[in-house]
Order: sequence, then C-alpha cells, then structure tokens
Amino acid sequence: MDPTTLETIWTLGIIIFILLCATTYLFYASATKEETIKKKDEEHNKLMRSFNDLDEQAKMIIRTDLELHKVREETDQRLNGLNALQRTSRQMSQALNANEIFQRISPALFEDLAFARVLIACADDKNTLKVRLNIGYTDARAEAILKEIAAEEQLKSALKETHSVSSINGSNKTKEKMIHAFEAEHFIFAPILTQTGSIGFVFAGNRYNAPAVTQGDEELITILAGQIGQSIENAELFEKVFRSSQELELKVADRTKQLANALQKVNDISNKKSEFVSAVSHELRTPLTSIKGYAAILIAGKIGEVPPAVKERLSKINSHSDHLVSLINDLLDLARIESGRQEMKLAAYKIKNILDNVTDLLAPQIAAKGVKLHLQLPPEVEEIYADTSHVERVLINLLSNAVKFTPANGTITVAVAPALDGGYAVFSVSDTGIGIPASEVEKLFSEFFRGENEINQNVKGTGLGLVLAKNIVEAHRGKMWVQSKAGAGTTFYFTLPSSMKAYEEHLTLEKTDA
Amino acid sequence: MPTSISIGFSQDPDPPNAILQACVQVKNQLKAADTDLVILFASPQYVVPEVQDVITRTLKPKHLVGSSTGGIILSNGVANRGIAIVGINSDDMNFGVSAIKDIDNQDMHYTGFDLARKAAQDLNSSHREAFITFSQGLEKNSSPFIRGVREVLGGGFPVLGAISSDDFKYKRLSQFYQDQILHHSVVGLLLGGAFHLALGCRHSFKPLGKPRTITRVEGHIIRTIDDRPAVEIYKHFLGTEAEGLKNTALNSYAAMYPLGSYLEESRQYLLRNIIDILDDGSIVCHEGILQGAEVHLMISNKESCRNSAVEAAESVKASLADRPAKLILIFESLARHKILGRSAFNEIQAIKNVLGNSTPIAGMCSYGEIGPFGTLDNIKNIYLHNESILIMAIA
Repeated sequence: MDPTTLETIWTLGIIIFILLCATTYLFYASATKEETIKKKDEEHNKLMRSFNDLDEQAKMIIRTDLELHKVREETDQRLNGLNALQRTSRQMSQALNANEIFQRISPALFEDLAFARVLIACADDKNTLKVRLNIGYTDARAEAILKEIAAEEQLKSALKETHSVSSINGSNKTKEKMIHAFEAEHFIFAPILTQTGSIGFVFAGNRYNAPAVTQGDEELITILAGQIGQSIENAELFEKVFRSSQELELKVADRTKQLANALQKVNDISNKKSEFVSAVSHELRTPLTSIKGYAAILIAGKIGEVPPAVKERLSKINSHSDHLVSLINDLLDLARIESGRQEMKLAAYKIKNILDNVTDLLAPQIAAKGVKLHLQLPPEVEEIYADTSHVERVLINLLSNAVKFTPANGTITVAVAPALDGGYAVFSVSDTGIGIPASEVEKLFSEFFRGENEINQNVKGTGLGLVLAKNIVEAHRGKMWVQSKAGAGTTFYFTLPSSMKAYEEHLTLEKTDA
Repeated sequence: MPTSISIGFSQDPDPPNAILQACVQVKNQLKAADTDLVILFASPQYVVPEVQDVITRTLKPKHLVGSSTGGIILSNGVANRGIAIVGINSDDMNFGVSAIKDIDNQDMHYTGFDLARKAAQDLNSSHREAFITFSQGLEKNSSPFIRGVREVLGGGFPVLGAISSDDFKYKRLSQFYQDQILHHSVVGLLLGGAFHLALGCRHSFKPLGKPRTITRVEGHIIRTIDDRPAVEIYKHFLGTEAEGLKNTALNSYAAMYPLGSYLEESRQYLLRNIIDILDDGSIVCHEGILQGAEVHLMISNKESCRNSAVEAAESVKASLADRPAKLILIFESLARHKILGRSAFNEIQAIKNVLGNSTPIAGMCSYGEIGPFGTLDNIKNIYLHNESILIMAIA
C-alpha cells in the first residue's frame, strides 16, 4: 500500500474517530440540556401551580372574609338599629300627645337602619290617614301614596293586618303593589296597632340596587310601629287622666268655695248668736243684781224682821241669783271669746307660778275632799306664751272638776311636757275619779252639757265651764281633748305655745292654710 | 399668648343648634373674643346654610377651613353624624388659607400652584411648616396638583390632605372655606410659625394571590390587567359578589379589597380603591397606577388596622421626641372605618395608648389621604393614598 494511501486511510480514520467522538459528545450534551430544560419546565410549572394555588387560597380567604364581613355588618347594623330604636322609644315615651310622638322620631334612626325612604302615616281625629314623617319623598308624592293606599284594596287590607309585610315576606301581589306605590324595591310595611286596631303604618324602604332588607330589619320596624301604637295609647290615656284631674280640680275648687261660703254663713250666725247672748246676758244681769240686792236687804232685816220661813225662801232666791249671775258671766265670757272680742294679754309666764297660784286657790277644796295632788313639771318646759288669767281659769275649771269627781283618798295629777313637734307645752290634768262613759265623752265640750251622774245631780253647774276652757285654749292656738273611761278616771289635755315664736309660726301656718 | 386648642362637638338633631353648641364649647374653652383658625368637620346632615353664619357670629374666626365627612374622629371614637369644630388661638403659629373652586375641569398643576400661592400670600410669613388640603375632585389626578403646590412651597415641602367624604353616596361632599360652603373645590391651609409637626402614615393591607400586571391604563382608568378586562380580577376573587360592584362601587365590598401596586422606591404597596366599573370592564380608580406595574388584590382585618394605627402613632411619637403634642389631627380612610365597624373606637384608644390620653384628637374619615409614606423624614414623594391612616401631631 503506498504510503500516501496509508496516510489517507489514517487521516480518514482519525477524522472518523473525531467525528464519532464529536457526535457522541453532541448527543450527550443535547441530552443533558434537554434534561435541564425539562427540569426548568417542571420548576416553572410547579411555580405556576403554586401561584395558582395561592390565587385559589386567596379566593377562599376573600370569600370567607366576605362572609364574615356580611355577618359582622348585619350584626353592627342590627346593634346600631337597636340602639337607635331604644333612644327613639325613650323619646317617644316622654311625649304627651300624638303629634309630639311623631316629632320625636329622629330621621337618624332610619339612617342607622340604612333606609332612604320612610313614610309614617297615622289617622287623625276624623280617622283620615295623615303623613307624620316623610323621608325621601316629596310632599305631593307622600300624599299620592296615601291616596293610593285608600284606593287600592290590597294595600288597604295590608294596613288592616296585624303583621308586617316586607319585600322578603308577604304575598307577591301585595309586594308588587307596595313596590309600585312606594317606589321602593326593598321595603318593610308595618301597621301601627293599638287596642282598637290599626291606626296607621310605618313604611321603610330603599329604591332599586340597594341591599335587600333582612329579617332583623323587619323585626326592628315592626317593634318601632308597636312602640308608636303603645306611645299613642299612653298619650291618650295621659290626656284622659290629665283632663279628669283638671275636672276634679275644678270640682274641688268649686266645692271648697261652697264650703267656705257655708262656713262664713255659720260664722256669721255664730257671731250673731254670741252678740245675742251677750246682749241678753247684759239685760238679764241688771235686774238680777237688783233682785239679789233686794233679797240681801230683806234677809239682813234692814227694812224690818222677816219670819224665818220667808228668810229661808229669800236665801234660796239669793243662791239661785248667784247661780244665774255665774251662768250669765260664763255666757258673756264665752260670747266674747267666740266673737274674738275678748282681748288676750299674751306674754311669757313661768308655768310654775301659774300652777302655784291655782293650787293655792284650790288648796282648801282639795284638803276638804281628802285627795292628793301631784305636780309634775320637768325643767325643759319652763314658760308658756299666754294670757295668764285665762290659763288659770282653764286650770281652775279642770282641777275643780277633778276634785269634784274624785273620791276621798284619790289622786289628782297635773303634769306638763313638751309637745312632740316642739314649740308647744302639753298640760294634763288626771284624776282617779268616776270617769266618763264613752257616750258622754263626745258631748263633753258641748254647751250646757252636763254628765248624768250622781255628783252632778247634787252639785249645781252651768255646763259651760269646759266649753269656755276649750275656747280659751283655742284662742291661744292650742288644742284640748279628753281621755276617759267610766270608773277608771279622766285625763284632760291641752296645749299652749311655749314661746311667742311658736305662737306666731302657728298663726302664719293658719293664714297659709286659709 | 401660648397656643390654645379647643374642640367642640355636638349631635343635636337640629343642625343650627348643634353648630351653636359646638361653637359654645370651643368659645368657653378658648375664652377669647375671636379665633385665629377654625377647622370644621361636619357630617352631610349638618352641612346647612347657617353653619358658617353661626360660627362667624360666635367664634369670629380669622381663618376657616374644613370638609364634610362620613365619620368625625374624636378622642372617644368615631361619630357617623354630628359636627366638630377645632378652634386654635396662637401667637406661635401662623395660618394662611385659600380655595380654588370648581376644579373638575381645571388644570390640576395650575390649581395646586394657584392654591399654594394664595395661601402663602395669606400666611404672610416666610416660616412655613406644612400645607393641608381638603378637596373634592383632586383624587382623580393628584400628582400634578402636588407638583404645583411644591413649585410654590418647595420640592420637599410636606403636602397633606383629605378628600371630602360623605356616607358612601358621593352626593353630599362639601368643603368649607371662610364663610362659604364649596363643592368640587379644593381648600388649602398653610401652617407656619414656630411649632413642630410630627406625622405617621400607614395602611394595614397585605397582598393576596399571585402578582398581576397592569397592561393598559388611561389616566385613572385601568383598562386591562394581564390583558384581560381589569374587573376580571374582582370577578375572580369575589365570585357572585362581583356582580354588584358596578352599581354599589365604594360602598360595596370592593372597598375592603383595594388594588395594591408595589412601589420599588418606597418598598410599599400603594393602594387604590375602585370607585366605578365601566361597561367594558375597566376599573375607575382614585388616581391611576402606572402601566406595567405589578398589582395585587389587597386584604386587611381589624387587628391589622389597629396595628397599623399603632405603627403610625409610634412614628409620630418618635418624631415628637419629648415635645408634648397640643393637637392630634387624623385623616383616615372611610373604607378602613368600614372594616373596623363598631370597634373603630378601639383604634382611637390604641392611638391614645401611644400618644397619651390628654391630647385632644380631631379628624375626619376621607375618601383619600394625601401624604408621604411613613413619616416626614421620607418626604421626597407625596402620594394620594387610599385605605390609610394619617396621624399628625402639632407640638
């Protein structure tokens, strides 16, 4: 083989080898790259899948979030509505008439409930529906709606129902009529009910494209309509009570006037009676003095000796005249005090001094009867503001009676204590005497009344002493009363002012009451 | 005279009475014939023609600004209804106020420029601390507005604000300026003088699901996300609930799940509420998101809201150092308030736990909050935020 051919063969062999190596390398490189691309593709796909998963997760998150928001929004709106309703209810409950009730319904309530159209109508005195609150309608449109309700049977019957109608609850026909009449797609129509039935309605709604009303909204509007009905009834009741109270006040005033007139007449008659008694007493006293004088002259034998039998009769004339004089004096005093003509010389006096004077005066009688006298004068009541001569007369009267009706060895107690309400002193004169039957206690302060008992039958009396004593106490703005039981003794009580201040305060109070 | 700050609040059902009651409370505490500045927050029911007349007669304010709101923030919670009046008398602070009316069809850059210029003229002082705005309409295009304000007041100047709100109806929005009730307007309050302003701004939302890309944007309308109609993202997550989004917009559940766009510069998610959905499935937002931006649906809960409020309050506390705050002013998203529901007062309590119980608190729930992310230390960029809480403390 020539060397050139051999060289060519070698060269070709080397080239083929190199080509084979290159082809092998290229094949290998290509396979590796393809694998890398495949891997990258897989990674890309994985990433895309992750992104898509992320998107799907996001979608789920948003939808869950949306649901939560919806629930929360509804809850918030419900709570806002309830708060607003509570405020409105409180406002309405304070209203005193129907007009005021509607004035107190704040439009803010419906804003909180997210209603843009509101119409509240209620019947007037002539039972005609009148617009009371209008939000979102012109006045003309609101009136037109009322006319439509009056003309349309379906709407009229909805008004008479005892339950609400809404866009989520009610017959389709009624809903359609409502939507047409009120121009609101989402609505609640609740009748205003009272015990006499439906008197109006509350309509709340929104136009198209607004969120639908909820069951909660319907409940709130129904509650509001109920509250309005209740408030109207309350206001009517209040008005009735108010009117009755006014009528009653007028009647009381009228009757008081009548009584005042009657009292004035009684006082006039009483004054006339006192004047009459006073005049008669004066007229009687003069001849009596003469009779007494002549009887005394005859008894004394100044115009010649009189036989004993005549002397005895003359003595009786004298004694009866004394009794008559005493009776006339009492009558005159009584008339003076009753008519207010008796002047009271009021001043502060020591109680002890008054009691000493009285007991000194009555000491012989007390000793003669053999009864014990106790005086109870606590240090906290030292003085009274009174006319001492009159007070002594009261005490003498009561003590004389006590001595008269208390058997020997009995006890008479004179006590003084401060009155519970202050300013006055309470005097009491108690005895352990025969007591007074219940039937006689009431008549005790009546003029000329004398108890029916053995002692009274034997001892003369005018029946005016206690009346006079009571009048004297009352002239001091005090009171007199008695507690007694037959056989268990008697206690007379009377009050007198402790000071000028107490007396004047009582006078002022009397004037105010008058 | 040191700085005196007083807050009056009333919920009397009769609006003129309520205004008078709130004024009397302020007057009794300030004990002054007139008032340097009145900031007024009123729920729509209390925006009545008499409002400024009563305030003018009672408090004689030299400057008055304010806004309608769906929630009035006070020391004891958030009131959905009522009127709150903040009265300030101070020798240390200066105030300048301004207003631009009917801004809907105006150039926002020029509006910002003009508003800041007028406020600066009214302030009449070279020492300026912060600019606060209350507006309606600004939310659609706030960036040029903020740029315009900063052209007058300085590139790093703190611009803060709240978008007027109502009860999620978008129908009863008002701004208060001196003796006028304005609509579709912006009012500005320039604060100057010797005082310290501390700020904390946070939101509580976390991203959900895989990231998506904004593929087509026109202004504040997001046309497509991942080349599909933008609304599909809500349909995907909300299912049947998404059907109601178009008509109920912000008062729907969409407010609880805003869009979040990640900002590399702040390493934060900027939130955007949707305010409308167009027939072609496009989403209308408060202010747009950049085309090509990564976007997520965002979620939050009560606990997260409270935590973010505490974080914002702690930022304020750190900035205050040991200075005692005289007033805490809070602008908080109304949608966030919706998430908190009846427990909104817990959030206020949490803020008080950080900043103390004695400092008076006033503020409003808004449809958008203007401010930087975090604190005033990071004030390069000012954004219109949604679903956030902005706590300011004047010390």
